[in-house]
Amino acid sequence: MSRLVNGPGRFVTPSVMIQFSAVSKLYPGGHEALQGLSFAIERGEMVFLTGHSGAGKSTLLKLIAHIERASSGQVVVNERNLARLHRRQIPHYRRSLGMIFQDYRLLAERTVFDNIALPLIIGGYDEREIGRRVRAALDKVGLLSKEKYYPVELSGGEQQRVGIARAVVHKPALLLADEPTGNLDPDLSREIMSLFQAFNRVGVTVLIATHDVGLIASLPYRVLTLHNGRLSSGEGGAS
Amino acid sequence: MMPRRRAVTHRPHAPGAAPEAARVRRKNSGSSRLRRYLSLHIQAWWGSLGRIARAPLASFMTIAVIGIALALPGTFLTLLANMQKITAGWEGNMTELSVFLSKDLSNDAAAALTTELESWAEVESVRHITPEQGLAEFQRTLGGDDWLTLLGSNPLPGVLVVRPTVEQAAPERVQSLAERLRDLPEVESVQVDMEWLQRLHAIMALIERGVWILAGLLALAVLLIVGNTIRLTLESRRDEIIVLKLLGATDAFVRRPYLYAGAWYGIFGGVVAVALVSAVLWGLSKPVAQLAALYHSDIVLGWLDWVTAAGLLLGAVVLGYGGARLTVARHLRRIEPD
Ligand SMILES: Nc1ncnc2c1ncn2[C@@H]1O[C@H](COP(=O)(O)OP(=O)(O)OP(=O)(O)O)[C@@H](O)[C@H]1O
Ligand SMILES: [Mg+2]
Repeated sequence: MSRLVNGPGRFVTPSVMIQFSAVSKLYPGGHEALQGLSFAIERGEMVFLTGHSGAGKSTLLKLIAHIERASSGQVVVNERNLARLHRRQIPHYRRSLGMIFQDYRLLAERTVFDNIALPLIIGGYDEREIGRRVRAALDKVGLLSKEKYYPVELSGGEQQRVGIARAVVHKPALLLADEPTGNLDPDLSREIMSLFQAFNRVGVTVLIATHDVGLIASLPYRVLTLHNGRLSSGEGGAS
Repeated sequence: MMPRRRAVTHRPHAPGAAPEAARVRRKNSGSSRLRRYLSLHIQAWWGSLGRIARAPLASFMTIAVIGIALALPGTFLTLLANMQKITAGWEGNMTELSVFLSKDLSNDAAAALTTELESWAEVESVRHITPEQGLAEFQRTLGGDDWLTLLGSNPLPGVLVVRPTVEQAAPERVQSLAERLRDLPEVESVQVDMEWLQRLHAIMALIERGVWILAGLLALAVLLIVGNTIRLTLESRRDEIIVLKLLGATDAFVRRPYLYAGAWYGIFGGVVAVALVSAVLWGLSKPVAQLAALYHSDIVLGWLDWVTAAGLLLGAVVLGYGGARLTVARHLRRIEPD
C-alpha cells in the first residue's frame, strides 16, 4: 500500500513496519526461546503468529515491545533499531504501540473508563478528547454500559475487551495482541477479529499471537508459525 | 484516514502514533498545553492525597512519627531560646567585678572614686565596702574571737563592687571593663567573678550544639521513614507501575504521585510537629510561672514563634519530598516489565 514511498538511502524502507534479522533470544538460564529469526511485516499488514505452547510467541511480541532485548540479531520497528533505543526514548516508542496482553493487565483500582483512558492521560490529551475517544473505544468493544465498573466486576471476556479498547484508544500504528481471544466464546472471538480487521483497514499494522487455528484458517491473512523458537512458515513478504 | 496515514509514512523519524498525538497537540495553543501540564500536576497532587487517605492507618503512623521526630528538636530549640533570654537577664543582674583598692587609699577617696565610677556609661551600680565593713562581714561569717586583736591591724583593703549594665554583661565586654578599672591608679587589683558565667555560656553552647545534632539525626530519621513508607507503596503498586511503563509512561509521570505523597506526609507531619511543640509549651507554661513566682521573677515561657513554626513546616515538607525522591529514584528503575 505505501510501497510508493521508498525513499533513497534509507536503512530500512518505510514500507516495512517490523523487520527481524537473524534474531535470537537467550533467556538467562540458557533457554534459547528464539533462534535466528528473520522476517518482515509490511506497514498496514495483518499477520497471525502461531505455534505450540512455549514456541516463543510471547517472547517475539516482547522483543517488538522492547520488554525483552534480543541476544543477537537486529529488530527494527517503524524505522527504529530497538538495540539503539535509549532508555529515555522507550516511553515515546511504546506510545506508538497498542498492546493486548495474555493476562489483560488492567488496573484493579480504576474503573473501566479510567483504565481505557490511561494511554491518553499518559499521552497528555485534554479531558474532552479523552472522554470522546474512550467512549468511542468502549462502543467498539460493546462495553459502553460498563464504563463505571471495576475490572473485578467483569467477566474474563469483558476484561479482555477492556484490554483491547485500551490498546486501540490512542490509535497506534502497530497493534500487538497476545491471545486476544483466549477467553472469548466463538461468536465474540469472531467479533473481536472483525474489530481487528476494521483497524487494519484504516492502516493499522496488526500482529496477533494465537492458538486458535480454526480462527486463523477462516481468515485470509499471512501466518507466521513458530516451532521451538524457529520459523517453520510464513517468513516471506506479504502474500 | 488514509491520506493522513500515508503522509505519516513519508516522515522518516515519525513513529506511528506520534502524528496522531501531534495532530491533537497542534490544534492546541501553548497556553492550553501549559494548562494541561498544570492539570496533570494538580491531578497527581490531589490524587496522591486521595491515596494517602485510602490507607489511613499506615499514613497516620508515618505522619505521627514525622511529627514526633520534628517536635523534639522544635521543643528543645524553643526552650533553649527561652533560656537564653532568661540568662541574658541574669548576666546583668549577677555579674560583678570586685575592685580591690590600694591599702593606703582613704575611705573618703574611695567614696569619691565610687561616685566617679557610677558616672561611667558601662557601669550600672557601684557598692563601696570599707575595710571595716569587710572585717565585720568576715567576722560574722567565720564567728569566733575578736579577729582585729588577733591580727593586730585590719589586713583587708577597701573594695568596690562594680556591676556592669546589662548591655555590658557579655564576657568580653566585662573583660575590657576590668582592664579599664585595673589601669586606675587607686586600684590594686580587679577580680571578675565570671567563671560561672563562662561556664554557663559554654554549657548553653554545648546544649545548643547537642540539640542541632539531635535535629540532624532526627531529620535523617524522617528521610528514612518517608523513604520506607514510599518504598512499601512502590512495592504494593508494582503491577500498576509496570502497566504504566508498558503503556509508555515516562519516569517523570510514574514518579510524580509518589513525590507528591512524600510532600503530603511532610506537610501533615509538620502540622503535627507544630501542634505538639505548642502543646508541650502550653503544658510547661503553668509550672514555669509558679516557679518564677517563687523566685519573685516575672519570667514567662515564650510561645512557639512564627519563624520556628514556619521552619518546622518547611523542613518537614523538604524532608518528605526529599525522602520520597531518594527512594523513588532508586527503586523505580528496578520495577520494569518482564
Ligand atoms: N522470563 C523468562 N525466563 C526464562 N525463560 C522464559 C522466560 N519467558 C519465557 N521463557 C521460556 O521461553 C520459551 C518461550 O516462551 P513464550 O512465553 O514465548 O511461549 P509462548 O509461545 O508464548 O507460549 P504460550 O502459548 O504457552 O503462551 C518457553 O520455553 C519459556 O519457558
Ligand atoms: Mg504466550
